[in-house]
Amino acid sequence: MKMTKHLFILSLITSLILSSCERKPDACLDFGDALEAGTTIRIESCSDNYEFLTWEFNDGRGQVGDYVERQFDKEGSYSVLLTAYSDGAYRSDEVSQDFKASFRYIDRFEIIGESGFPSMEVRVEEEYTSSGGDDGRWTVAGSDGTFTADAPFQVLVWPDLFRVMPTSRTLQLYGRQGLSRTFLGEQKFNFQSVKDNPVTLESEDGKLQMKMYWRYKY
Amino acid sequence: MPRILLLFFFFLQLGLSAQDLTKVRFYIKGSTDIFIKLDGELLPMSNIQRIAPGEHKIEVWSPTYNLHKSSINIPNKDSVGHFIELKQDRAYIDYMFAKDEFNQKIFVRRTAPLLLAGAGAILIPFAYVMRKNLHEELILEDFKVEYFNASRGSGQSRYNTVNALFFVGIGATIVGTSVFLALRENVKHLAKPVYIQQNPFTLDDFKLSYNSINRSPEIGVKLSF
Repeated sequence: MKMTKHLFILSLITSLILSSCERKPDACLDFGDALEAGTTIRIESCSDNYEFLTWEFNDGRGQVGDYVERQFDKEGSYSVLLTAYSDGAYRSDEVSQDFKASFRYIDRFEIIGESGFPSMEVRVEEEYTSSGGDDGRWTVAGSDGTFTADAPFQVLVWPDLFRVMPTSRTLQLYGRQGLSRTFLGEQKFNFQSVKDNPVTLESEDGKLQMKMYWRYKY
Repeated sequence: MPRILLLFFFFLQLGLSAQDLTKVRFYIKGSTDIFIKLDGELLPMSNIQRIAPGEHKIEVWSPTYNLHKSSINIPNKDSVGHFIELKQDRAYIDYMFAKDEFNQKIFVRRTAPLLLAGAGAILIPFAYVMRKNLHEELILEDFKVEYFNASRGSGQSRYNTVNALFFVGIGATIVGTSVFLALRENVKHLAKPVYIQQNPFTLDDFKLSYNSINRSPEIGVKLSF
């Protein structure tokens, strides 16, 4: 009888161990619908209750880990299937997300403050150009006056495609009057790490502030 | 002086009469306890006896053996040997068969199911942990084969083996426990074999019953189990 009791207790303990409820994993992705192409990006997961994650992209690449660091060389539509596993991979939860990979393109420049120049020239230059680079230069008339945040002076670039290359670039602002050009200010940004939108440049005399807005193609 | 000579002859006479008894060494094939009755007299329990030469009636009994009755002719010698083979009691042979059968029934109906259930219960937790780890490895291996062009290892076969062990453990525990519980009452009502024999000389009962705990016959004690 004693043996039976022991056996019963042992079976009970075993059953409890077996049914020890590990919670179901919760796969979660929340990184928006667009990612920057041409640079290494890190995609994080908001999953919970998992032991490991697998990432499967529709371009045939897969990774295992809490996050993914990869580069999308081509612009286009992608999807990723994230699977969260727990309980020895007997339990899993999947979530899929479609997104577009795109390079960053300059959308517009907005200038606010007082200006005495009839036109403004904005330049985006590479710090070091070995093969000519793809420097940009835009000159727009009608900049004489006072511009506020609500009614800024705009230099529109889009829909012309000018990439914000993930390298160090110098933004320069000039005032133009006739053929003469006056340097107002410049600032260097490393767009590999700078993801702010917009990025802001102050003129040297502090009278003007220029904001560069970028956007994805999609 | 004549008195001293008289005493000398007296003791010499005593010595001569002691020499008339023959030392008989009995070689009796039986159990360790041997009871010998010579001419109706129970002899001390020893295989060496001093017996007067001549014809005697002898009865020999040993537990689990039949009573042996015969005549013995003791020659006039210093010592002789005498061999007696006792015949095993038929009832004791039956008891031994019954004991074996009882053992087998106890093993099949109680010991084996308990061993099966115990082995299964021990196996389950180990197999459970190993199964989880190997399943995780298998999933990762499949993933790496698909996406990293990694060569397939032995993950599938190792997982299958441990998986089988896991379910065998569960099955053994369930089957063992079920059989044990189902046959518990049956085992309780199994009649244990008992062998009782009466010592023909002392009329004491000699009893053998079966101790199921140490799995050996025991003398004179009756346990219910």
